Amino acid sequence: MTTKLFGEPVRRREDARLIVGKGRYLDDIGHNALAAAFVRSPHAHARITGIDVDGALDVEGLVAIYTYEDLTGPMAEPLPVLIPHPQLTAPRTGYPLANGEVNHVGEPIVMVVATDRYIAEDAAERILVSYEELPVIVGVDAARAAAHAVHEEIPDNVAARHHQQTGDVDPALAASPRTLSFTQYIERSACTPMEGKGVHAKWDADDRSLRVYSSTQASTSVRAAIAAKLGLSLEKVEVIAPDVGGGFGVKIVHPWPEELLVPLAAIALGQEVKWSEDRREHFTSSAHERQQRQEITVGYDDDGRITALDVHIWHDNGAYTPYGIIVPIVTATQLVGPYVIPVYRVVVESVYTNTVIVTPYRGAGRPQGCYAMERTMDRIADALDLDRAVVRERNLIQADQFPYDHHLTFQDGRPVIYDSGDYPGLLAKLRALVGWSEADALRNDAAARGKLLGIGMAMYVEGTGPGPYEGGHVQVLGSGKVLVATGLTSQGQGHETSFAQIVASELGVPIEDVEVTTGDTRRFPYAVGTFASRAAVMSGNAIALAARGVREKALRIAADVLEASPDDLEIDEGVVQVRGVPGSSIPLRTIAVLSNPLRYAFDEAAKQATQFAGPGDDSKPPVSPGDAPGLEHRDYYSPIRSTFASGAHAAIVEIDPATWEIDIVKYAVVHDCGNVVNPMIVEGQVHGGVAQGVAGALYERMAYDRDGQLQNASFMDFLMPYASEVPDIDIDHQSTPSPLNPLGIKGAGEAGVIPGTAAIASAIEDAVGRRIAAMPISPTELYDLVRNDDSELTEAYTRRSGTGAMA
Amino acid sequence: MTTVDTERTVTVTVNGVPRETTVPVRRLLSDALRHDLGLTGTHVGCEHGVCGSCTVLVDGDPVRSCLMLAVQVEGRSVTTVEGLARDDHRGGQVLHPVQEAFRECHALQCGFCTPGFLMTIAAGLDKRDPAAELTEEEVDDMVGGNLCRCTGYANITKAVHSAAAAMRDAR
Amino acid sequence: MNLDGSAVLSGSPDEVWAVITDPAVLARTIPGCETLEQTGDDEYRMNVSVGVGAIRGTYAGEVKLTDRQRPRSYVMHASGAGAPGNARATVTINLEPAGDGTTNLTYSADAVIGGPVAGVGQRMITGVAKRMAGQFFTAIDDELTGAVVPIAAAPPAAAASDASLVVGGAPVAAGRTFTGKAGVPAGTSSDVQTLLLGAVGGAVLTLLGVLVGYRLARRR
Repeated sequence: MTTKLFGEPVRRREDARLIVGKGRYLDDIGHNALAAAFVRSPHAHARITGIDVDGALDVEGLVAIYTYEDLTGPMAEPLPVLIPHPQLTAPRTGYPLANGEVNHVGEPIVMVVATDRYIAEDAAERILVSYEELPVIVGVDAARAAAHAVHEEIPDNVAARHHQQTGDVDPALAASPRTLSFTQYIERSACTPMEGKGVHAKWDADDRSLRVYSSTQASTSVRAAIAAKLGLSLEKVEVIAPDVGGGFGVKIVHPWPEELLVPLAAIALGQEVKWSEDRREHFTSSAHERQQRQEITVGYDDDGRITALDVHIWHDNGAYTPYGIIVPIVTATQLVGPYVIPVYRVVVESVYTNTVIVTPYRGAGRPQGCYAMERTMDRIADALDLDRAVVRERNLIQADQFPYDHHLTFQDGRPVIYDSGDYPGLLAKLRALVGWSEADALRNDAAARGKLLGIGMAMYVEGTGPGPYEGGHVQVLGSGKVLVATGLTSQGQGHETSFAQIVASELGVPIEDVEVTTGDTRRFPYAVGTFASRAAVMSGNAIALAARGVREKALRIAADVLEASPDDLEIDEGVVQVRGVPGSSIPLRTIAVLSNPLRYAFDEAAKQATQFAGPGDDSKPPVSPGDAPGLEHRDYYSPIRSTFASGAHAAIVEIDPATWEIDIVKYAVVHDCGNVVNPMIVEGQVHGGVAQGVAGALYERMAYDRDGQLQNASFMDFLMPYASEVPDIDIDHQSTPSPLNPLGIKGAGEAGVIPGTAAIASAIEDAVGRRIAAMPISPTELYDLVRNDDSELTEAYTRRSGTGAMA
Repeated sequence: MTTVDTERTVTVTVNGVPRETTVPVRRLLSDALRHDLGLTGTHVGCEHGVCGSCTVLVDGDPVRSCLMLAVQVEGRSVTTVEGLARDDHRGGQVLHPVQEAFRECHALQCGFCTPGFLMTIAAGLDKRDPAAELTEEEVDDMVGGNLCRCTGYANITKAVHSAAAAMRDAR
Repeated sequence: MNLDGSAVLSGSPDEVWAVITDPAVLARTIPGCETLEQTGDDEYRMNVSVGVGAIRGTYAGEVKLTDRQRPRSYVMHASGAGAPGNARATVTINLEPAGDGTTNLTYSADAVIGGPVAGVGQRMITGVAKRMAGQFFTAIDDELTGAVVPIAAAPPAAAASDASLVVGGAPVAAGRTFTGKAGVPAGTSSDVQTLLLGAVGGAVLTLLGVLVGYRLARRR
C-alpha cells in the first residue's frame, strides 16, 4: 500500500453521532409502531394442551393475538436449517410459534400486539397456556446418557456425529512412546450484546412492499428469508440493519421467529409493528454457546512432540440446530492450532438438550478447541517436567512450512490450509512480553506476600474471512462525494471508518469525502454477513477492488481529457494529475460528471456533460460499447479459502488462599492478523475479546437447574464483568500478511476471546497445583477443589513441593 | 374489566428546556424520555438497573432511568446525553471533554452503552476539582458501575484520564 | 374457520325455539345489537356495535334462516361488514331436549373473515366470538327464566316506540325495527362495557345470536 490512511489509527467516523445520542438503534425507530410481546414457555419440555386468550381480551389497547394456528404456508413449517451438512443427520428447528410442543424455556408460543409494549405485556401475561410437562434433558452428560429424548424420534439425542481424521490414529497411538488420556469440561456462556435483538416492520399497502429494520448481522439473508417465508417477491422486501448495539454472533442467526412474525403482523394489521427484546428474553430465547465435554488421548515422545491426537467431544447444541454444526466443525478443525499433529482424529457428537439453542458466540467453537489443545500441551509438559513453552515450541509449525495443510475440512467446506504465519515468532514475543522466565521469581515474591501465583499461556490459529463472498460498490458523485456500500452489517467494528480508509487510500481521495453504508439491502443486495472475523477481509478487499475499478475508469476518462496516457496519471486529494506536470489536472468530481453524458443540465456541474458542452468524437457513441455511465464500480471478493490469523496469550494470576479470589495481575497478548487497516480499531477488538475470554474463564456461565430453568437470566446473576474484573492488557503485534487477498489482511474480531479460558486455566493450575479440568472456575469451586483430597495434583506441584520451592 | 392507566402530566426540565408530557403513572423515566420526548440517546440495556446504559442526570446526579418512574421527576431537572454538549452560541456545539475523550481514545465500539458511561463520567468529572490529581479510585467510581460488552473497558478508563487532563488544562 | 359450541337453556326445545327466533328478543339479547329489522320471512337486517381493540366497530349485517325444522334445527346464514372488516358465516343450530325441562343447544359455524379484522389472529377472534356467544346464551336463558329486566324500563326517547313494540310482543311484521340494548346510550346500562366486547365481524349475528361474528379467519 502506498497511501497514507491504510494502517493509520484514524479516529472513528461513527463516533460523531454515537457520543451525542444520535445513534439510531432498533428501538429508536418507529415511535408510533404497535408493540409486540411474546408468551414464552415456562417449561423446558412440554406439550401444549391449551391456549386460553380470554383474559387478554379485556386489556384496553390489545390489537392482535397470534398462535401457531395463524401461520400458513411456509410460515407453518419449521424454521430453516441454515447450514445443512451431511453429518447433521437429525436436524431439528423450531417453529416461529410453538406447534404443540416446547423444547426449552423461552420458546415463543403466542405473539401479542398492542398499542404499546406495556399493554402488550399486560395482555401476554393474561393468556393462559396449559401444558403437559415432559422429561427434561439438561447438559451434555444427560444428553449423552439419553435417559430421555429431547425429540421423541431421536432417542439418543444425537443431532450429528461430526468426524474428521488425517490418518489411522489407533496404531499411531499404540506406537507412541507415551500417551495420556483425560477428560475436561467447559460451560456455556453467551454473546450478551448490550442491545438485544429487535425488529421493526412497515408494510406499504399501496406499493405492496415491506421495509424491515432488524438488529441483525445478516440483513441480506434476513431479507431472503422473510420473502421466502411470507411469500413475497424479493424486490418487495428491504431489510436494513441500523446501528446495532453489539452482536458477537447471536445476531448472525436468522431468521429469528420475531424477524418473521413482526413483518407478518405488520402486513396483517396494515400498521407498523416493533419488537425489542428485553434482557430476560435475550437470556432465554436467543442463543448460548460453549458447553462441551472433551475426552482427549494424546501420543507423544520423550521430547514432548505429539505423535497422535484422538479427541472425542460431546457438544451441547441446545434444543434445535438452526445453524447446523458450524460450532462443532470449528472446534474440530481449529483445535490443532499452530501445531504439527501427525495423526489426528476428532469426533464431535452434537447433542440435543432442553435448553436455549447453541450457535456461534465470538470464537465460535475455537475457545473450546484451544482449551483442548493447549491443556494437552500443559499436560505433556507436566508429565515430562518440561517448560510448557518449550513443549509448545517443539510442536509448532515452522515458518518455512507455509502453506501448511492440515488435511482437514473447515467450516466453509474448504481445506484447512494455513496461508501464512510465524508461530515461533509469536511465542518468542509472548515470552518476552509476559516475562515467562521470571515466573519463578514472581511466584516466590507472591508467596512472601501470602499469595499463590501462577502463569499460563495458550496459542491459537484462527481461520478468518471465510467466503463465499462479499461485494463492494464505490461511486464518485458530481459533488465529489464518494459513496461506498457493502452488504454486510456493522455492530461496532468501525466499518464506516476502516472501509473509508481503504477507499481513501485506493482512490486517492480525502476521507472526509467518503461515506460508507453497510447492511442496507437497498444499497447493496448481495452479501453473506458479519461473522467469523470476516468483514475486513471480505468486504475490505471487495471494496478495495471496487475502488480500483473506479480509479481505472477515472484515469481512462482523465487521460482523454488531459490528452495523456493513463500510466502518467496519479490521483491525490481527489484530483487527477499528470505526474510531474503541474496545472495539468482534473478533479475526480468533474470526471464523475463527464462519465455520465447528459441531455439535461440540472445544475451547474451537469452542464459540462451535456451534448453541446464541448467537442465530441462523432465516430463513437457517447457511451462506448462495454462501458456504462457514471463513475462507479461494483466488485466482489471471493476467496479460495479462509485466511488464518494467529496469536498467543499469557496470564499471570494471583490467588488469595483465604478467599480463593483469582486476580489476573498480568495479561499479555501477541497478535497477528496480517496487514492492519486501523491499528486502533484492531487493538480495541483485542481488548474486547480478552474481556470476554476472561469472563468465560472466571465469571460467566448459564446456570440451568435440572428442570431446565435458567437460574441466572439477568445481569444481576449472570456475572458479566465490569471494569473491575478485566485486567490491564499488554499487547504486542506481529504481521504476516495473507498471500490470499489483495490487501494482505486477516480477520481480528474474535481473536481476543479464543485463548482466554485455556491460558487462565493453565495459570490457575500452575498457582494451586491442582488439575483444572472444568472451566469456568469460581473462587468457591477453586476452594472446593483445593480442599478435596481427591483432587489430582500436578506433577509440577509435587516436584515443587518436594524441593521446597513452594510452601 | 379494562385496565386504563391513570395518567399524570409531568412538568420537567430536560436538557435545560421545560417540557410537559402526560404519561401513565407506571411509565419508566427511560421510556418517557425515549418514547414520549423522543430523546432516544438514552438506551435501555437490562431494565433492572444493572448495566447503566440508561443513566441520566437528575438534578445533576446520575440515576438509572429504568429504575425511576417518569412521575418522579416532576419539577426536577433531567440531563440526557443529548444535553451533554454545550451550545457554542454560534449555531454549533461544544462537546463535553469526556465526549471528546471517548472519541479520541476509542472508548466506544457499538456505542450502545456509551451514553450511560458518558453521563456517569461527566457527572463525576464535573463535580471534582479539576486541579486535583485524578486517582484510580475516582476512575473506578466513574466507570465501575456500568457494563460494556465491546471495549473491555481499557479505553474507557483511558478516556476518563484524558478528559480529566483536558479539564485540568482548560481550567 | 370453524367454531363450535353449546349451551343448556332453561326451557323445552319449543320454548327455546320461540325465544331464539323472536326478533324482539334477539334485538335485546344479541351482544352489541343496536337495531334489528325484519326484512322478510326469516330475514333480518341489523346493526351491532361490538369488538375488542382493532376489531371494535359498528357492523351492518344480514341474517337469513333456512332449513327450519321446528323445534329441532335450522341454519342461519349471516353476513356483515364494518370498518374493521367483514364476515360471512353459516351456522347450524340444533336443539335437543336435555331433561329437567331444559334444552341442549349446539351450534356449529363455518365462517370466513375478511378485511383488517382478519389479521388479528384466530384465537382472538374465536375468543371474542365465544365470549359473545356466552353472553348471548346467558341473555337468552334470562329471557326463558324471566330474569331479564325489560329494556323498556329505561328507554331513551328515540327508541321508545320500538321498545314498546318489543315489550308488547306483537307479531313481527316486515320492516319493523327493534332496538337492542346497545342502542341505549352508554351510561344507562351497567352492561354497556360488556356489550362492547363483541365480535368480530359483527356480522353476524345469530340467530341465535350466536352470533355474530365469528370470524374465523382464514380458511386453511
